[in-house]
Amino acid sequence: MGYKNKAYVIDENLVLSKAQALVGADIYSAVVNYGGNSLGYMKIVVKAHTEIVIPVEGTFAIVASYGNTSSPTDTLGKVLYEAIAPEDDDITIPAGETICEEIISNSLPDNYKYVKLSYTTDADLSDYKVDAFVVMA
Amino acid sequence: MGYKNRAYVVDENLILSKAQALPNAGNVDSTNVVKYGGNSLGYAKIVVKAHNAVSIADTKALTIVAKYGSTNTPTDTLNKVLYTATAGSSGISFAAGDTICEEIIPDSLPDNYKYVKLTYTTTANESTETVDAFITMT
Repeated sequence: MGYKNKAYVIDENLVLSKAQALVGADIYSAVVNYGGNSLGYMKIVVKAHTEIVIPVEGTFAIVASYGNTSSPTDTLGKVLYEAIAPEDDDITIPAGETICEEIISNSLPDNYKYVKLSYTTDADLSDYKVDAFVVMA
Repeated sequence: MGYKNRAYVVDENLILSKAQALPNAGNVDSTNVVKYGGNSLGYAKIVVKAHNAVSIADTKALTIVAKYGSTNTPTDTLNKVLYTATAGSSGISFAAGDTICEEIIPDSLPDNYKYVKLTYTTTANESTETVDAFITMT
């Protein structure tokens, strides 16, 4: 069933992906400095900007990396979204739908201030786009 | 680097796993399905800690998934994996008490989602290693 599709007020400085096309196998968002130590009051939201169709047996994954520099690398071993389309059907995510959310942990190291997203796919998703941002939870 | 190892006050009714053994190259659900009440507004989180030392050997993996739902047999993973890692040549080690993963329960779940359980999956025999898991206030 997944997430409710809530609307958010978005700070332009906290935008990770703005209609970012899923061109390539490994795609990276912008890096956002969210300030760190957000006490569980901030979250990452990823939405489909266009409809996204993961074709039969295709995979699509989204991982966040955190760190204390503008090149964050610590994934915490977590995968925010991971889908594998079955052999007999596509996975379709309508435009505007929430793909995943992650409330940024309040137990991260205090010097972690940066976050970026990695989008990984083994299918051709180049016709599709995502929006992602950090927002108050 | 991972999470800070904070201490928590744990409600006995919100325990998912209490010194629960990890599986022998398979998967196992948390001992308990927890009714956390639902619609927790981002103020409740899942914490999984190593009860005794947990070591994952080279090429072996540990994966932890949460499942949410409106009944006491929750199934919705949200396509999210709370923790997954395959060890390299130096292995992966958690000391007793180390936090393996945390997940602040999203504030955008359907309002009728009130239950959660965890599923632990290993690719090696980790049955001598145990974990604690619980829901707590953020």
